[in-house]
Amino acid sequence: MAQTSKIRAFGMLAERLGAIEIETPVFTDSVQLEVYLREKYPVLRELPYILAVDLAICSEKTDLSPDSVVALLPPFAGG
Amino acid sequence: MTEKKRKNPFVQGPVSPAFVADVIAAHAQKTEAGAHSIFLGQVRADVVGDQTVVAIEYSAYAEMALEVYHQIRERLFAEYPLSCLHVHHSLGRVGVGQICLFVMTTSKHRAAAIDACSAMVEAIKKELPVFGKELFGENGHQWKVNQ
Repeated sequence: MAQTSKIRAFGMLAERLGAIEIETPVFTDSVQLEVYLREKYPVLRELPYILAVDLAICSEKTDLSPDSVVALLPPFAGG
Repeated sequence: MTEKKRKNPFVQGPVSPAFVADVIAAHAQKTEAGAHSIFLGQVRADVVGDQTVVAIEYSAYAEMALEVYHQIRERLFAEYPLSCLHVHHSLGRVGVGQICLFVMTTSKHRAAAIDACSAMVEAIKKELPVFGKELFGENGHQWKVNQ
């Protein structure tokens, strides 16, 4: 059985994706994952978002393992 | 993560003015302190087109928010001579006019308290993965984005 990863989505992204969690194939880095996500979920091409990997913002190419905790975050609005 | 219990800055619903008063009163014991600086964030009735915001519903990526919050705390304690740093941020629904953020910093002198309070508020807005749905009563919502 092919391995999959789960990615959590928050706020506006969860609303527009229609899910708080999406399943993806396992990728070895964040760039491959983003290419896949933008292809599979065209809404991500038009919405501002950032990727978080293991509870930190992922601002450059980051290695992923099947255990990586990945999330899609819309713009922050605290305070 | 240290063994010391980590503080959770999140509270469900609005921060009550009475709670703010209690926190201030509790600092009477801190006799080495000479300055407190307080920031209170309040939900504003923004007008968007012909609609008015009646409340904000906050949510957070809690695990990451706690991690980032503790990094910010450590950074500020390293940067400023603080004796206390309290943050209470709402989750869930907070109505217009209610308090959604309470930051209080305590130091011997005013400059550190004021500067650290301001730095904390800016860091919360920029770095914490908190999301806000601005509710327009019966007529839908929009997603808040910090400027």
